[in-house]
Amino acid sequence: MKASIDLKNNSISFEVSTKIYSKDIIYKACYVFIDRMYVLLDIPNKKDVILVTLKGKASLVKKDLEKMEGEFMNELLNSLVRENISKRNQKVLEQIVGGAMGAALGAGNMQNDDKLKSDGCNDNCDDNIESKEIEDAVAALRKELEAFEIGDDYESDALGIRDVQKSDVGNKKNKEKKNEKKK
Amino acid sequence: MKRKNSITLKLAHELYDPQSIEMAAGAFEELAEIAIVKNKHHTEIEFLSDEGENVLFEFANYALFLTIQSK
Repeated sequence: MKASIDLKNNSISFEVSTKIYSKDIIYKACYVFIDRMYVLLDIPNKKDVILVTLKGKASLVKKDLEKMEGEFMNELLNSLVRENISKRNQKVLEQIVGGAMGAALGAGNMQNDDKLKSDGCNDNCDDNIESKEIEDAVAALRKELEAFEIGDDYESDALGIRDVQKSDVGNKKNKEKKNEKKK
Repeated sequence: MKRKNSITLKLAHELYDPQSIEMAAGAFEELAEIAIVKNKHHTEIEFLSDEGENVLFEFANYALFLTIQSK
């Protein structure tokens, strides 16, 4: 159907088929135009059609109103194509995000999962094995800490830090003496 | 003194969310006297304003904006 222009009202009305452009697509196009023009939507007596009325905020001539209709139709097509592309790429996007999340959670966990799967373990025993691994790790850490624990006090120098420092100081003094002799 | 004009607007529920229309009416109540009559398929809004018909179209735009946001 041809658009009807009302110059007195500064508006143009045209029908958009909902068989081609869904209601969501029409809303998206309206959203783009809402700050430039007054947008009115209505349902005429015809089936599968939405009547769109665009009214200029400033006074417009016939050519401007026709241009607005053309731009609106272009925006409808633009929204439709964008939605189709995003639908097509949705699975790929999900896979990328899933991969990124997996990597963020730690490659180590993924390796463990593979190992468990190869051992024939299903999802139900995952939790038990995981908690057992944590307990083992905690026990190993405790043992390491106990080995490093200093029984007496700092003067006993269990890690031999004092000896290292002494040898460093000795080396430095020898170097200084050699330099003085050269001079 | 400006004369108040009465304008009526029909908004279909299939396109305009009734809650959004009510919210828009709440936002515009200082600019115009608004009377809302809800039917099964549409809401009828009667505007009484001395600001001209542009307020009505601003109202319609805002109702549409809220509807789109609610989707």
